[in-house]
Amino acid sequence: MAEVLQGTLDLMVLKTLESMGPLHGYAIARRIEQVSGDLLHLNQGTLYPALLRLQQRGWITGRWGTSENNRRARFYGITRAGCKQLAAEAADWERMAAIISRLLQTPQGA
Amino acid sequence: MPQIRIWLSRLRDTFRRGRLDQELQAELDAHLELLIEENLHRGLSLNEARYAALRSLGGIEQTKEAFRDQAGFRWLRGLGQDLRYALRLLRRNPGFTAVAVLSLALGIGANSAVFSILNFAILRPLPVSHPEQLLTITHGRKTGSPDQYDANISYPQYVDIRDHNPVFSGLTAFWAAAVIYGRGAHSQSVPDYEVSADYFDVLGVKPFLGRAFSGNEGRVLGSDPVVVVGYKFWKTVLGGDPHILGKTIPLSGHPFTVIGVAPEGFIGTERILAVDMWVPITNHDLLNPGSQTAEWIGNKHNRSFWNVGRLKPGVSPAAAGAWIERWGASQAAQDPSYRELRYGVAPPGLLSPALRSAVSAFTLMLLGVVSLVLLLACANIANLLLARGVERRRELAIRLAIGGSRARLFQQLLTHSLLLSFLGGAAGLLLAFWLDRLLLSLRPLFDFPLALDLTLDWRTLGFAVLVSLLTAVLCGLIPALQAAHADPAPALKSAVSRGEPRRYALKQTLVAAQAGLSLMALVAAVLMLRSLWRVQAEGPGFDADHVLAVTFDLGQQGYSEAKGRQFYAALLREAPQVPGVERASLAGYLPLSDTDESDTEVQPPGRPKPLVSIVTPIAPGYFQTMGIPLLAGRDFDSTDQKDSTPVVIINRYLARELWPGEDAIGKMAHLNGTPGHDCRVVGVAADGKYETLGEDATGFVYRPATQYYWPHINLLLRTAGPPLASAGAIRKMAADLDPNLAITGIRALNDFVNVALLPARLAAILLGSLGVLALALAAIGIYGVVSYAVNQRTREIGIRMALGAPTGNVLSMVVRQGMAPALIGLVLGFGAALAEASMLGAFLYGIQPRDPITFATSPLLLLVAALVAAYVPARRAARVDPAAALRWE
Repeated sequence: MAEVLQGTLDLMVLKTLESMGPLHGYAIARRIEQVSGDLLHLNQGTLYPALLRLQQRGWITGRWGTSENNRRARFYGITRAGCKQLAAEAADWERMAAIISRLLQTPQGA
Repeated sequence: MPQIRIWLSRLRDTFRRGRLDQELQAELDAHLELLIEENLHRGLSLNEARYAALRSLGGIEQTKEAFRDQAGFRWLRGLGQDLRYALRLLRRNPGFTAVAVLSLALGIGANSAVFSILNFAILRPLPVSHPEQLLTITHGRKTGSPDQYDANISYPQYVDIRDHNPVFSGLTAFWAAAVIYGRGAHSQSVPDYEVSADYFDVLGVKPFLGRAFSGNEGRVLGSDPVVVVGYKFWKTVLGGDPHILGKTIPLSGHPFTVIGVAPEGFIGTERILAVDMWVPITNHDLLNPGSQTAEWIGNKHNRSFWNVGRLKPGVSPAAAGAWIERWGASQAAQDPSYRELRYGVAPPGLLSPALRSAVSAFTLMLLGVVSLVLLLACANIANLLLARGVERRRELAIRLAIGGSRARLFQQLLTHSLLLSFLGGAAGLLLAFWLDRLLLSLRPLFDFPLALDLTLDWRTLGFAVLVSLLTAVLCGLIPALQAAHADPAPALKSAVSRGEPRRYALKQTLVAAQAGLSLMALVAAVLMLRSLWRVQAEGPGFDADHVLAVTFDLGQQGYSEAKGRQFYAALLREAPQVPGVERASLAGYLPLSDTDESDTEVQPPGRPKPLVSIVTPIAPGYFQTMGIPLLAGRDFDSTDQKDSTPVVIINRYLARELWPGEDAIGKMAHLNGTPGHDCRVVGVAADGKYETLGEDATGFVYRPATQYYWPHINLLLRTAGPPLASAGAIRKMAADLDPNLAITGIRALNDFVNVALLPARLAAILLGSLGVLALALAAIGIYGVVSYAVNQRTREIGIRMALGAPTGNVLSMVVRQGMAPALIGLVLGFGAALAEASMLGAFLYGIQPRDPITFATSPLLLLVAALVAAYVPARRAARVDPAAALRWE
């Protein structure tokens, strides 16, 4: 199982919220693990400082609501600024990933 | 921008930490619940489901900590904690807190009060547009320093410079005077400026109501009588009448039309002089009847006009100064009387560069001494904090041992001293406010429209905050570093710290510094006190007790010269008849008073250079009335009439300067400046103090009032009883002579002497109390260190005594150890005090800066204080019970 790469949690949360709409913390964690095919090991507690950080930056907002099992839970939704940030970060990520993979595919001795 | 938003939201989150904590708990609970449910669905038992849930959530406490760090600024939260902690500490040690806050309050308060004077007199900008562009033209003797120049020029010089200079875009000239507002019994004297036409334009001051001068006003002699009144005068005396423009008010008996009201707060350009009216200089005749304005304005030797010029854009003050100096040199080519003089420029605002430099030198000197006292207070508090650090050694060691960070500990200790110094600063500001009030209450001593505005503005507040911060660092840094960097291991091993050499050395250094600093403060205080005693012992050269001075301004009240002469004769005839009056005489200029002095150049035939002296008319009997010894020759008498041989009496200094080694009586001298005369010297009078008590000897010329008429005069009366007791009878006598005549002032001559003594007294009182404070602070410091040493060594002393050391030995050992650093400090401070004394030289009168008595008594005083401070704890040491000391621990 892979650990979450340093600095990528924000990107995962933003993407998850963009595609799924408002979710609470548990759902975000489950969704990320599901999408990874349960290959990613997420220390679910680390989600909460990250959620606060994203709120402070104005990329997501939190609102109290009721969860599917009728408990009070906080639902997070992405903001317009968050969408912009996501687009920028995603582009960055893809560029970086492309560079890394090109680097790794360089044949030996070339 | 976004960065600021993030900061703001983090800042907000810092302060709603409690709610965020609760919310996080709720979220985590919900999360856990959902995880457990999911695990139960997978078929795990309840316990297994819970453990698995906790595992996948990770450490809950770590999550909370990370969340809290994200939620706010850790250091800011720490600061709040530290403040609460520091407050608790201060509350728990009320004695320590009181001593520390009080000494800081004294130090910071004295600094702030002195700063507020400096701020008012020098730093605060003038209330005009672009005050930095304004300069005043000054002049003085070539041999003198520009700091001692006067800031006045003659009217023809003003016109010449105004019309032919490339450096000023405008130049205005003005003359400070007083007009009589109203009529008869309800009249009052109001300070005013008689100004050139462009006054308001040059200063860039727009009237609050109405207009400034225009047309012929201020340009053509005898132009329409108009006046711009000050805002305060308009509000208080004229009742704030909104329709005042165009109305007339009576000034010196003439109707003047009000054309404008100056903006609020505008009192002219001289900070300490608050004038209430501005009148065109061309109306001088109306306000001063018979004054021959054309001659007054036209005389290029009459350098009595203040002036302010506005620099053209791009012209530097230095360039303007250079041009004015060249202009002065070109004048000297045409007129030999300019040869001795040099012209220059200076910033306006304090009447003259001479006063400005005196005020700034005096306040800077005071600031220096109060800084010394503040430093002393800092050293004391540092010492107390060091001792505090020793007491808390164990506590701090435990905190370090269980993982507290040194930086955090350091922050906490520094917060403690910050809190202390800000408490001291706040109390100090209150003290400064009170000191300023005290200074302001001295104002009625001056018969002068003194504008002393010592409000604590943002500059003074900023200064106090800065000083407090500096204080916190000065007294808190070293103790905090010491405590935070201590090694926890030895402190934990034993409750009693044995010998901590580094810390003790630090305390001894502090005591040495204190002894040195307080010697410096003491020397300044003793020098000032001795100087004051000397001035008081020497006296002003006349006997001011029992003399009443009654001032008349006949010129302002329309007296012609002939009528004035008759009035003088009547005064001399009637005044001695008044009950209680023993002698009476007249004098134009009163020594040490605020009368404008008049200078003359005295030149005996054959002497190349004239000597500048003060000149005044007097009546016969002046020397007896004033108690001035007549050393040779005769007094003026009834034979000295208008048409008889012109005669003078000169003072001894002038006689010796003009005719060294010869008898001055019978010699001839030419007087320039005053209506020119060749006069015969008929008498020589003793020297005295004329302008200030601290001045160097200066020449003085007396002329008979019959031969030298002044339109304003002082009637001097030597009385049997208290001088002011005769005031009523004198008023009645004057009213009998002329019921319409106003008396400008009735004062005891002693008032003038007291005012002249005021700066010296003030300095002596201030420095004296600061010196006592410094002595006390140093003694407290020494006491503290010796007590500390005694406490540390109780066991050792006990052993010594158990082994048979006599009490005397123990006593002298402890005292010697306490005195050692004080003596080192004394030696170093002695050197520093010698350097300091030479800087004080300008403020000393009658004694040398290296006055042997001062330099003998001050160290002695300090030595005695140090001995007492060391002896008290040493005696405690000598009384140690060996058995108790050994059992201790």
